[in-house]
Amino acid sequence: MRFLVRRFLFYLVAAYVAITLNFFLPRLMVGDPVQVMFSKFQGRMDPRAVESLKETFGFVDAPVHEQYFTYLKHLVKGDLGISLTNFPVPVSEVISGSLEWTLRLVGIATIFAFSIGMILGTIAAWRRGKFVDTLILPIASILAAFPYFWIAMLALYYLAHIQGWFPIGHGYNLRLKEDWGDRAYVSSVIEHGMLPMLTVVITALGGWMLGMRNNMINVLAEDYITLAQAKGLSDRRVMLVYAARNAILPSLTGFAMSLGFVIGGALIVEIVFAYPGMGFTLLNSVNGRDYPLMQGIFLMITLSVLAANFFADVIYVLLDPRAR
Amino acid sequence: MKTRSLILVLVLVTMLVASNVVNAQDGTKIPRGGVVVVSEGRQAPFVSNFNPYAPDPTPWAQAGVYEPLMIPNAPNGFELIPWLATGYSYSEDLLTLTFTLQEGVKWNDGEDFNADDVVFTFELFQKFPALDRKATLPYFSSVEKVDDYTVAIHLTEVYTLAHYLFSSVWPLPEHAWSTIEDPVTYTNDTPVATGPLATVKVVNEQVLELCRNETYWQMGEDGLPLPYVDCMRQPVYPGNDPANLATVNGEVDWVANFIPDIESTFIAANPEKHHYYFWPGGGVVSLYYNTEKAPYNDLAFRQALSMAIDYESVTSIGMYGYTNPSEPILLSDAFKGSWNQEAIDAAAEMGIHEYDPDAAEAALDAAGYVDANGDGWRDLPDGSDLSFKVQVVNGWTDWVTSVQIMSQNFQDVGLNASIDVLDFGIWLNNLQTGTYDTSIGWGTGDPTAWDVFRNLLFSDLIGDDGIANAQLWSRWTSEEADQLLVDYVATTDAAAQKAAMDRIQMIFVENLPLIPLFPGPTWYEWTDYRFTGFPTEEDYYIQGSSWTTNGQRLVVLMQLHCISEETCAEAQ
Repeated sequence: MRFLVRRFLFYLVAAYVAITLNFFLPRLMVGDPVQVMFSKFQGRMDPRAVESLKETFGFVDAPVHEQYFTYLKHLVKGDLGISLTNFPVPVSEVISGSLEWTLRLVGIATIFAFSIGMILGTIAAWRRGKFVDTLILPIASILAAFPYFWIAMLALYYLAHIQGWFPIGHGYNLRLKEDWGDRAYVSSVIEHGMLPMLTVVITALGGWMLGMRNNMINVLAEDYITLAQAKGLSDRRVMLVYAARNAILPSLTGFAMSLGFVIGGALIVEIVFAYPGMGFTLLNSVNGRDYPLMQGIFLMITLSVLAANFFADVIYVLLDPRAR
Repeated sequence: MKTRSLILVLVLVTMLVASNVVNAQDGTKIPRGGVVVVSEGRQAPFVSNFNPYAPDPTPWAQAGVYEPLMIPNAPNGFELIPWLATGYSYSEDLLTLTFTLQEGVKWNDGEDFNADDVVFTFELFQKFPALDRKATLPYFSSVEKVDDYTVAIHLTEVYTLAHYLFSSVWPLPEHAWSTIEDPVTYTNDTPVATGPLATVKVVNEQVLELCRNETYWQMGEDGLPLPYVDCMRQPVYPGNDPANLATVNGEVDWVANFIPDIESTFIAANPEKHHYYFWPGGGVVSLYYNTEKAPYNDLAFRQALSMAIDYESVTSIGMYGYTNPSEPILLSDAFKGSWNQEAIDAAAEMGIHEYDPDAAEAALDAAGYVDANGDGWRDLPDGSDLSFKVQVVNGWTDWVTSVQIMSQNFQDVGLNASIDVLDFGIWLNNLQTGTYDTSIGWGTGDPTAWDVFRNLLFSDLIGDDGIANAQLWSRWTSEEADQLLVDYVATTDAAAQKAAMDRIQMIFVENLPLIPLFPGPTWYEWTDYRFTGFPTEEDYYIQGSSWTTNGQRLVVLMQLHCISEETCAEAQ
C-alpha cells in the first residue's frame, strides 16, 4: 500500500510539472494565431482586417504570468478555454467530436495488438522453432519495421481503390445520419473502421510479439519452471500461470504507456484514411498556434499517460508479490 | 400478368411525360434535387460556428448561409453583381454611399429583410469592433435608413471605391441578433439567414452538409425558389492525398484542390467527365527585395535581376505549368481592362522582365558589380562581398521549386544567391520588419487594380513601428505614387482614374519596386457525372473555385443542377 501511495504522490508532482510545461512550450514557438490565420488566406484577406482579428484575440496579449494563473485557475474548474482557430467554440467541444473516434479505433486496435502479440509471443517462445516462431514472428517483425504510412497507403490503394473491398475514407458512410440505433449506420462504422484497424494491428503486432517472446525465453530458463514441470503440472498451466504471468510484467508498462497515448490519436492513420481523430485535431492546433486547444489536448495526453501508468503500477502489485 | 405490368409501365411513362410537359416552359425542364459534393483540399474538422463574423467560421457560413450585398465578378473585371442590394450610388460630394436593397427577400424564419437589418449590421460593428472583419470602421461615421429598402452610409472621407468594401458585408437579421448579449462569442448554431443554403443538416468532425432554403428569394427558370440542388456536402479530408484520391475516383463534384500533374492523374482517369480550369487571375506572386538595403536600392541591380530570371521555367516547372508569366505591370488577367500598354512597351524597350542572362551580365558589369576578389562571385561596386538569400516558406513546394530555379538563374549570372527555407511565421515577420534580402511573396488579387498598387506602394502602410503592412515589403515608395493613389479614390471620373492608373503602372515599370513573376492560379476542378452548370474555360461566367471569400460561389450555386432525374437520384 505504501508503494502505491508513494507512486500516487510522484504522479501528482509529475502532473503539475507537465501542466506547467504544457503552458510554456507552445508559447516558445514562433508565430502567433493572428499571423497564421492571416496566412491561411494567402493574401486574400484584407490586410486591414488584421486589426479586427487582434481585437478578437486580445486576451492573447496579456502578460505571460497573468495568462499562466488564469490557465491554472480555469484548469481547476475543468475549463479548457476557447479554441482560437475555431473561435469562439470551447476547446472541449472541438475535442469531443474527434475523441470518440480515436478512443474507439486506436483504443481497440491497441488492445487487440497487445493481446494478440502477447498470445503469439508466448506460443512462439513455448514452441521455439515451430510454425509461429519461424514464420509468423519474422513476418510480423518485418511489417513492424516498415514505415506505417507506406503499408497504410499500399493497403488503401490496393484493397480499397483497386479491389474496392473497403471504403476509401471517413469513419462512416457520410450519406447516412449519425444514429447508433440505425443498423445501417453501425455497420458502416464497422466497415469504415476495418482497414485502418487492420493496418494498425498488423504493424504494431511485431513489437509486442517479439518483446513477449524474449521475456518468455528468459523466464523459461528459470529454475521454478523446471520445478513446475518436474512436479508434473500440465504444459498449459506452466506456460500461462508460471511463465507468461512473469514474462508479461515488463510489457505491461509499455502497454500502459501506449494506452495513455491513445488519446493523442494516430495522425498518419487519420491522414491516410481520412479518418476522424485527435491526431489531426492536434496537428491543426499546432499549425494554427491555437494555444488553448494545444494545451487541452496535451493535457489530456499527459493525464491519461500518468493515469495509465498508475494503473499499470496497481496491476504490477497484483501480479508481482515482490512489489507489495 | 405481362400485359398488366406493361400497361402499368405505359401509364407511368405517360404520367412522367405529362408532368414534364406541364412544367416545361421553353421545352426543357431543369431537374431538381441531388447533393453536390464539394472538396476544398485539406480541411480542418468542422465545428458548428455559423457566426459569419467569427475569425474563421464554418466554411460556407459567409457565402452560402449568409449573403453579401453585392458580388464582384472576377473574370469580368470585378464588376459588381447585384445581390441583396440592387445597386449603389454616391452623393454629389461623394461623402454618402447609398445602397438600394432587393425587395421581397425573406429571412428563413419568415421575417422580411430590409434596411433595418443592414443598418443594424453596421451599427453592430461600431459597438463591437471585433466583428468588423472587413475593416469598414475607419471609412464610415454613421449609417442611416432612408426608407425600408434604401440605406445611406456616411463616409468619413472621400473614397470612391467604398462600394466594393461596403457591399461585401453580410447583413445580419436585426430581430434575431439584437438580443444577443455578446455577438463576438456567439456561435449561431441555428442560423437565421437569407442565403440559399441556410439550413444546417449536419456539421461534425467529418462532414458539413447544408441544405436549401425553401423560401429563397431568387427563382429558377421553373418559377420555383433556387437553388436547383437540395444540399451541399463537404467531407473533411485531412490531407491533399485523400482528397485527390476521392476526386480521381469521381466521388466529388465541385473541387478546389491542388492536384499535382493534373493531366495524367485527374484528367486521365476520365477525360470525358473530369475537367479543370486554373484561371490566371489571382494576385501576382512576385520577387520582393528590401530596397532600403544595398544593393537592392540600386535600380540597375534590380533591373539586372529581372533580366536574369527564367520566367518560363518558373511557371512551367515550379508551378507545373498551371499559370503563365505575368505582365511586367503587376496586373493579372483579371484587370486586363486597366493594363497600360505603354508601360508594357516601355518595359520591353528597357529589356526588363525578359529572360536574357547575357543582358543581365552586361547590366551588372556596367553598374560595377564585378568579381573584385576573384572568388568567382560578383561583388558590390565598392569591392565588398555580395551574397544574398531568397526566402521562401517551408512546405509551399511550388514556391520552393520556383525559388530554386531563380537562385540558380542568379548564380548563372555570377551572383552568390542561395535559398532560405523558413517557417511561415518567421518568413512573414522578416518581410514585415524588413530583415531580409529577397523573398518570394504573394500579391493582392482583388477587387480593383487600385487595391493591387495600394497594397504594394502606399507609404502609409509602413506603420510608426516600422512594420510594413499589406505587401509593402519592398519598402519602395514615392510621393508621386502616393498622390496618384489618393487622387484615384477622390474622384468618380473614369478618365481621371484611368490617367492615374496608367501613370502608376509607368512609375512601377520605371522603378521596379518588385519583380512580378506569375498570377497565382485558383484551383478549380469539376466532374460532370451528376451535375452541370459549372463555369467552363469557354464560358467562365464567374470564378469557378468554391474557395472564395467574396461570394462568387453563390452565382455558381444558382446555376448548378442535375444532368437528369437519374443523376439526381444517384447524387444522394
